[in-house]
Amino acid sequence: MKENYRINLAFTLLLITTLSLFVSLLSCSENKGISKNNKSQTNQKLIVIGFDGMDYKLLKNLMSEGKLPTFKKLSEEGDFKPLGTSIPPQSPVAWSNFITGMNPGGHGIFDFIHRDPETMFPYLSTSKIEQAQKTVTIGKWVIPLSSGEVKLLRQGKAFWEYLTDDGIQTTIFRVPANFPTTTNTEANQISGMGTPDIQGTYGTFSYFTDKPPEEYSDISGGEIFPVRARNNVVTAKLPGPLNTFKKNAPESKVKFKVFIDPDNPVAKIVVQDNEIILQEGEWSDWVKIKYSLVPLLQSTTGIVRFYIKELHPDFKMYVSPVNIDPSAPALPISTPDEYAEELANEIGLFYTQGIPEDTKALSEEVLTDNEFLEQTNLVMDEEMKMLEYELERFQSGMLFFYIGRVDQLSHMFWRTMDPKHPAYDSATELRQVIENAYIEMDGILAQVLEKVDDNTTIIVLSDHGFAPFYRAFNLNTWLSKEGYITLTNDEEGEFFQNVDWSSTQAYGVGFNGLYINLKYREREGIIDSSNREELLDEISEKLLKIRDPKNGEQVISRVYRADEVYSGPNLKDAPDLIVGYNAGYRASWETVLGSFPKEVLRDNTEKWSGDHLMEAQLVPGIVLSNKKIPSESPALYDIAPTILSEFGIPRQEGMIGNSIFNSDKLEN
Amino acid sequence: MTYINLVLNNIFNLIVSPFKNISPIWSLIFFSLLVAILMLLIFRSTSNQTKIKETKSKIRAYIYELSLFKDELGIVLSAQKNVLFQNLKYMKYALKPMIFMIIPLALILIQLDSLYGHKPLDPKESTIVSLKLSEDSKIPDRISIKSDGGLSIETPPLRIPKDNQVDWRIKAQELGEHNLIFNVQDQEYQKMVIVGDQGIIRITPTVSTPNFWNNLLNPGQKPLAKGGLVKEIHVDYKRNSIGVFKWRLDWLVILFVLSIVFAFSMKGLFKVEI
Repeated sequence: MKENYRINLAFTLLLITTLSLFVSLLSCSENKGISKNNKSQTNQKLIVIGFDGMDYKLLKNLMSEGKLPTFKKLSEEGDFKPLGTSIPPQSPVAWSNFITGMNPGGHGIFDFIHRDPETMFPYLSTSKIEQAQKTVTIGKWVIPLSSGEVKLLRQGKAFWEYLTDDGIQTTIFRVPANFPTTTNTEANQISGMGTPDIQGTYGTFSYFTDKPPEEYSDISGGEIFPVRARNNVVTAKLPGPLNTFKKNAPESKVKFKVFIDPDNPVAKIVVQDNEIILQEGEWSDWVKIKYSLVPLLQSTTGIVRFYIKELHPDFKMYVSPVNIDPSAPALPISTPDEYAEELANEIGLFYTQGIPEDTKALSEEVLTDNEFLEQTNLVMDEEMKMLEYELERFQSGMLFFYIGRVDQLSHMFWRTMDPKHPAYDSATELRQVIENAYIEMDGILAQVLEKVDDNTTIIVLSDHGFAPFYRAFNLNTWLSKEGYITLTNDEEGEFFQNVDWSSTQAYGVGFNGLYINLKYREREGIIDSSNREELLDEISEKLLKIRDPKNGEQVISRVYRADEVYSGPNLKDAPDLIVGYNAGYRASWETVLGSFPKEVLRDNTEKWSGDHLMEAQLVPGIVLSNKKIPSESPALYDIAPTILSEFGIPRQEGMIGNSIFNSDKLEN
Repeated sequence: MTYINLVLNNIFNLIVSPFKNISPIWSLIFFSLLVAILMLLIFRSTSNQTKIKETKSKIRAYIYELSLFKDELGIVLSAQKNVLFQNLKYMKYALKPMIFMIIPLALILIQLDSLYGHKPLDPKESTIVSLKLSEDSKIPDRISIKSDGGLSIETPPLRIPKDNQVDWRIKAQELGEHNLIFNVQDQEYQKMVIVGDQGIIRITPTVSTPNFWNNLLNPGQKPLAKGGLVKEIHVDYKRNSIGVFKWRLDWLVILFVLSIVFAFSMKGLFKVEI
């Protein structure tokens, strides 16, 4: 008995001791980063800052005006050059060049939009979300027997895979064309442009109002929900992901209520367990929304921000696209999986959708210019917290950090600084928005440079520059008028619904791509490969001759042949021609997805007023470093070999560039 | 109930005082140990230990029978029936001590929830304060809120006539214990709001007019005066969670698991048959 007592006592003490030990360990482990790649075999440090859309000419001018002291200092101490962009100069293409050191023939991203030659249906080029292939339907429920898949369509190895193979600690922050994040590497990555919202779109906002615009059913990038306030209470439903566990995959929805004060401009939003009080003109913090897919068994969480535009006399409330919750991601937005959660714990919830700035809400006039700017400031605040967090813990290896602010503001506010723009408003007070964005980036650069020591190389770059977007060109309408496309009716249509493929020779898909309707490649191809060359020459010649009837200017300044500018295993999937628009011109939104508006050219009166989807030489990016850049014409595809070379890793198979820090650049 | 709360508050404050400025997990381990001992003592003194021992032996015997005669369907079914029956008997014997445990455990859990259940506001954190008026009152025109410092009122009153409720959004500005002062048609009410960044702090999200249940569930703050216009004042503190390795758990989960582990490991020490 006594023995038993002693054993029990000993066991109890042992238990307490063990628990204490565990507790000490867990106390120690709290608030530490969880980065898996703890290898640190080098003192060499490399910081690469990617300012999407930073323009060479604008930067140079602002530097010479003394408005960007940090950029100026860096360029004087190191170097500053234009950076050759991709053909075409589109972000997913350009950043894929950066990531792989290849051109589109190697990495297979040719445009925002590709087409499936079997169905002739356009699709987003960088990733594909596939539902479960095998399912069983029982009543209204669909039970998946296999798992769905999210695929990154970019080919070729990313430079950080080589770095981590060599034990270099690497963090890749929101680089475009990296959703889902690359696996098979120990790099910390969080996905960027190309990451969908929880509905699988590139961002669909919701707008609840008792005064909807007259035509609201087909607005782009959002949904408008007419509501009514009864006894000062609005009841509505917030749309969420498609519920693939149910037959016909209906949209899941979450009910919410807004209690409005009878007189004061203040309201309370009650959604699930969350209560938020907002005044007119206020943005909420992130609110977690749980969508039940199968009661008690399956659910998914997203995050939204509410914005109250107006409460009296009309009710107007904007809700952001439902972003993937970084603290419990429904899709693979980070590597390792816990990295997104770690960031959320450290800095709070944050935008995870690829392009967080809600340009569609501004274009559709759901948000005003100032409201949109406030929204972009929220994005910027989050990005700054992330940058501070990453800089703070950056000890060695490589850190890449992406900021999309200049790009998005240049797209939306070019009209405010360019009197020639059709959407220019001489009364605007927002002329300085783009300039201010550059000045903000100067401040960020100053913050980064504080972290730079003798062992650190810094590279600041952009993927492309910017130009005005005055006039929109309907490529498919032009092809139709020239007899290369036959239509079955006179309607505008979309997705080539009204195209008679049996007598169509060529068509445009995406922002710069032009394809021949080739036999044995396209499902209903009619052009023999023997006639392809002749047809390409003919179309190219005609495209270059197009003059704008409004001012006589050349609309298309260059037409690239894919087989002349691309190399690599994916060349077979490339468009046959890449249309290089002149500055001021761009493909219309309608032509991108296969619509046929009546006119070939029209004024761009939209808020989306600056662009870069033009001839590559017209919109170069920038590169600055604290080291000299002897390379005479550095290009985006040179950056991957440059990064590898900084860590003593040679240029890898498939890469076409060379280190920008070498003067002996090879011709490619 | 108010006096019981006062005594309990002081006892728990005293117990928690040595742990105030270290991780809350330590005091939770200690409380789990105390709860385990308390449960064992109650169980021993209120249960029929002989019968429980006898029932458990029978269950073991029937399980043994199941393994011995696993090919004899008749015996297996009979043994299973007996195991089920003995289990029900065991539950019957366990019911009495459980009933005796309910009251002390409820008081302990309410106390612990006020210590660990909610996070004080962080400086610069905003939250909602709700004021509920008694059923027979309408929301008056003259209603206001102010802070004695350390808090700012961010919004005008949001009146919800249907619920007889008025809400405001407040923001924590400085660390400390601050008072919100409400003036409802010249009647003054106060609610303490805690802004803190570390340690174990007693939080009472709700104060209401006195009745047994309100007093029982809200031990940390004096109830509102009876017969006034205001029925309840609530501050929407966030639920707290405690870091355990890479997880964050509610204190109740930690207490539940640890007290069971402690109770089972100490049952021999206290000579208790569970």
